[in-house]
Amino acid sequence: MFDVIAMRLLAGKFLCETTAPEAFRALEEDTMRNDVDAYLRRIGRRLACTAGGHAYYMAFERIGTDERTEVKRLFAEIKHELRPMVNFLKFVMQALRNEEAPSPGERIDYPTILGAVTAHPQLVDELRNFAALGRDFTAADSTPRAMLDKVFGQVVKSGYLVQLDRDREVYAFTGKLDFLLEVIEFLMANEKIVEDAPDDQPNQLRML
Amino acid sequence: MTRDVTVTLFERLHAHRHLVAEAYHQGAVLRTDDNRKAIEILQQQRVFVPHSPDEYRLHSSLRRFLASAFSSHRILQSSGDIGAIFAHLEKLTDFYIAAFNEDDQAATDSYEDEISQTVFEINDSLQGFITNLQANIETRFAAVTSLAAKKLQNEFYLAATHTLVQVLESFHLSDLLERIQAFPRIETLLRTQLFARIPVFRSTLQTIYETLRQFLFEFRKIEARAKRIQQMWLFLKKTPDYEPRAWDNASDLPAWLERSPGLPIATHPDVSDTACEDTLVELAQSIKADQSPRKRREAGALTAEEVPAKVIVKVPAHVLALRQMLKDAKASEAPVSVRQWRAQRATELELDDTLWLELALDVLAKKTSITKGLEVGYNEHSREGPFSTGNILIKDLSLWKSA
Repeated sequence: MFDVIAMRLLAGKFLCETTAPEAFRALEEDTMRNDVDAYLRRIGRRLACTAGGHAYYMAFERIGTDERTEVKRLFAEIKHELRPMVNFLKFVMQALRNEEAPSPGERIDYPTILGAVTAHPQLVDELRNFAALGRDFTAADSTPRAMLDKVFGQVVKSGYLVQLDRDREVYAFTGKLDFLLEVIEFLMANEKIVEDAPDDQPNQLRML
Repeated sequence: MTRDVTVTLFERLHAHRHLVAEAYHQGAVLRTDDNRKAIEILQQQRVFVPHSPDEYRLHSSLRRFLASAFSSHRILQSSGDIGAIFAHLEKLTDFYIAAFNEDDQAATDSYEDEISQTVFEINDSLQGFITNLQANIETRFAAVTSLAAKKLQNEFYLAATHTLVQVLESFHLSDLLERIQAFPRIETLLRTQLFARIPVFRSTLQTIYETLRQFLFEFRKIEARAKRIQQMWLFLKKTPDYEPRAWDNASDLPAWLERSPGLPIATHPDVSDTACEDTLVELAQSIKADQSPRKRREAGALTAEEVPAKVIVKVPAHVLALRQMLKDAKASEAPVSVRQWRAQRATELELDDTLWLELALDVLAKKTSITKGLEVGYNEHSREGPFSTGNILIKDLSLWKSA
């Protein structure tokens, strides 16, 4: 199991219950965690875990001049993904009429979302708004299915969703979502982002 | 032979089952000429009790039984009920001792019977409460959909479980067993049916309590997370040009910015390492042998190579004619009329001038290497009338070599 864990981490992947359940469970053991961490430290890296404990990843042991370039690249990637992902999470909550935010490991039934989009024109508008976020989110045609496919495809490509069942079109959120939530929490706390959520939000959701 | 009253009661309940069901679901039934007799019978059996002058409701004991059989809502109250039953049991024991001391055999027997019923009732209620709670925990309160309702149920069960654990602890520590030591039958019943099971019930409830506390923590986290996403979404919507501050320049980076990208890794087997030998053999054996048929060369004979089949590419006659016309136009000093060229040089083509002109236009529009170095002149029809359709009507095309 050590080799599987090490290879995934060295490849820069997140290791979570959804994408690698056995490896993730093995890392829950202190011995394995210490072994992996010691191994990574020999090459200037370390084992890190997201704030919510839903995913492990490889981090720099120290940040020097050489590492700053990678830090900048990572920050640019996060900035690029922040807005589409926040929109996507909100969109999923609206489509499922759920006041709970999606969490890592949570399953997403594509046909249910598509059904909601087809039934509620407001959701089609929300879906259309994704196109304003760039070419990556712009579908070739404007049918709900094409737009939703494009958005799902992009979220999968970014590593936040993984397809569990191709036939039944079932997806699940990965541990990378926990990483994003950590970023959001940090930005909100450190950039004084406080927007009062409207009290009638549940009603708005119900009205959809 | 006397008839069993239980059978009689069940027969009457069955005969008037729809009325009983109506009273259960509606809370009460209105007395009418049609159901007057049935209500009287059920009232005699203490199934119905008056609710208002013309209305009847189910007796609370039957309602309680039905509610606990069908619904989980009734269970919501059972922690309080169980506490009350424990108190009742202690009272019954006191009454039993008093009746025994007064040498009242009939009362002693009656209390003994009631004590055993109460003990079984406590067991059933506790087991029912635990089973129901475990089912709710398993599904994370799936019976209710909203987070607020889940939180409410969780908080209720948390309080109820805590109360029950306390009730069980205080009962277990009570001097009840000591007080009834002189009455072996009652003492055995309470010890085997209740006191021996209390530690198991208490331990299960303690586990449930811990799980519910964990749920409460998670529900709060979920709620906070949803709120954050909602707030961030609103903020991003209101601030379309928002860019996070340059946290990548900070001397003290947030933990998430220390994530390292993947390292480019290429692996290859070390064929000189004997430790790899077995794995390499295994790999080699896993490769399937080539199954394609092969001719064996006879010893001393040459194997003739098969000549590949000849492929003839057939170019349509009009394409050849067009290519020739373009070639001629490039070679000619004077402009070449497309229609005239066809009339003179491609008489064998079975197509009219209109189609020939369209084909020529098509090949010229493609601007391939064969049209390079050629100029095109359009011999237009004169336009009639002041309005134009936007289309240009041509009679012929002229081709000449570019200067």
